[in-house]
Amino acid sequence: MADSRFPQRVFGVGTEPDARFTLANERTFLAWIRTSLALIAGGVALAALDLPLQPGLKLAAALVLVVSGILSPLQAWFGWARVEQAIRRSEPLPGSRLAAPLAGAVAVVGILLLLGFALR
Amino acid sequence: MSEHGAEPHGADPRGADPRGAHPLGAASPSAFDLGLQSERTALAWQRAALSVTVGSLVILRVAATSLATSLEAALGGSLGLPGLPLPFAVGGLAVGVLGLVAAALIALRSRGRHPRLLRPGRGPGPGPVPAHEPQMSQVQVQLQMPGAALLALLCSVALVFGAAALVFVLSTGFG
Repeated sequence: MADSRFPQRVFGVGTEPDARFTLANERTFLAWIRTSLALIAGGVALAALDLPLQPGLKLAAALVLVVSGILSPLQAWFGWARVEQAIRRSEPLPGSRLAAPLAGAVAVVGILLLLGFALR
Repeated sequence: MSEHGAEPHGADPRGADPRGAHPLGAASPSAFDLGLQSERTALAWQRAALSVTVGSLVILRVAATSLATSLEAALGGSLGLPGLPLPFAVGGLAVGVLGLVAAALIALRSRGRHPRLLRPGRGPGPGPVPAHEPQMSQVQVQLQMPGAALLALLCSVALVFGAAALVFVLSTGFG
């Protein structure tokens, strides 16, 4: 019988893997979602709170956080799908495409906030 | 076994584990108990659902109030609710309730999965594993997992939050 689980492009390939690997992949997905929500909350807090920062740099930092928070769920979904496909095909696991850019974005936010505090 | 446990079982050139315990050391088989796998995943879902609930409350408390003020200023009149437009109030409450319902559903789903994972023949049970038994890594746990509709839904909610946050940040920055 054909596998009808969503999405077909993931569950239609390979063989059913060890359930523990699927559960671990699901937890990684959830960790990305929580990261996304934290980034969004940080951006909103930065914009909403009356902080002693240079306004332009504060806005830039908030935008970087929110945009990173929008990209993270995409990484969560497509990363989950790629890893699940690799597990089902018994192939090496692909790396995360957004991990390095996200680390860079958080570093940029830190620098913007430092500059914003210094130039206020 | 290497410090990071990267070598396969039986590759330890020094022979038996110096601690006299499982070759994986602290990561003993009981730490990979199938029930715990399910429980850890359920707890991760609970944290995500609670984050969604808190996020919806943040939308209600902060973003909606500020957006309402901006909208009222732009429209030159009141929107009916003090600082809280109805669509945002309904949307925020709906997502909050959705988060709580999702948390309850996930707990129920985990409770249903737990006994299936622990069914005899799935793999070793909890507690220390005798030396003659296979390692957890050598035991296949065959159980068909559900589809990813819930994952897609959660992803969509996070994207909606992100879009709302972007509108809010832009409205405070350029409004």
